[in-house]
Amino acid sequence: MAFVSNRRICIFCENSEQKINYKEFKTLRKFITDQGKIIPGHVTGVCAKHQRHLGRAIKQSRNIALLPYSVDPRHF
Amino acid sequence: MNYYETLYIVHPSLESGRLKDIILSVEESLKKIGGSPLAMELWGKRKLAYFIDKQRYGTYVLLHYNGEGKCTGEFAVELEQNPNILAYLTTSIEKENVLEQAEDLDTQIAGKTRESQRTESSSEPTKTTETEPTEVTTQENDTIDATADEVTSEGGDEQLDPETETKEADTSEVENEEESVEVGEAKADEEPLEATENESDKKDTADDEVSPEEDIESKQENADETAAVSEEE
Repeated sequence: MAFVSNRRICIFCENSEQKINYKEFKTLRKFITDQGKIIPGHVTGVCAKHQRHLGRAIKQSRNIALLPYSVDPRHF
Repeated sequence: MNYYETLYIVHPSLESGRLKDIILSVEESLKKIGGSPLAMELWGKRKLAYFIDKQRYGTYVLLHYNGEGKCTGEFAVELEQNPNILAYLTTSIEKENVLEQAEDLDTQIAGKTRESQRTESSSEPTKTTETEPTEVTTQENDTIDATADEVTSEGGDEQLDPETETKEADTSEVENEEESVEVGEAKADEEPLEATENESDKKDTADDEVSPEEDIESKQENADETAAVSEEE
């Protein structure tokens, strides 16, 4: 039986044109939860290199109030 | 010579004229420090992800400039001391990522003000329908309160107090009468209940009294039957 990998390919590795930047908070919003937590890379399929870039960009967006630090789950 | 970009948030209460003054003053302070602004982009008024200085909205301004490494720290001190700037973020960028200044500051501010006016005009009908009735009710309430105040001020407290006391006394008397009537009714209700309870008790006692007689009769019948059986034998 041939080995079938379930490992997803990083979307930033696939699309080299898609850059990770703190100003594109609409893209970054896909990688945080409703509470504002950063989703781990093994859940989203992002590679370690781009996960580091994502984490830095999300933290920069939080600093300038483009993304929330935390959202109270009672407000959903 | 490095290239930097600073995104800062201006206080939302600043309108087009004062916003232009703030942006120009920031650029002048940057020039004094030693940097040279290359491009400026106005994002317009946006909703913040969290409150900053009790403000829900803020005007985002993006500034690209180049300069020595020390100018970023001095520029940060300038932005920190400016009370009209809520927050700022400085990052280093590559030369290829520097924006080209397409429009000057006046046209950008005018365009953002038009956009904000359009959004306000599109959202006005719903707002007016929601706000008008509340305003009317508040005005009515104000007028009612004003008339009430006038009446109280004209009548005086001393004149009103005896009337209110007599009214209170009347109402207390009426309440006492009602209470007495209620008590009487309650007593009338209670008496028949007691009577019925006594009757039921009597019935129970009668039943208890009857039952021994029946037992005696049944015993007598049993004795007669036993006697008849013995006679037959």
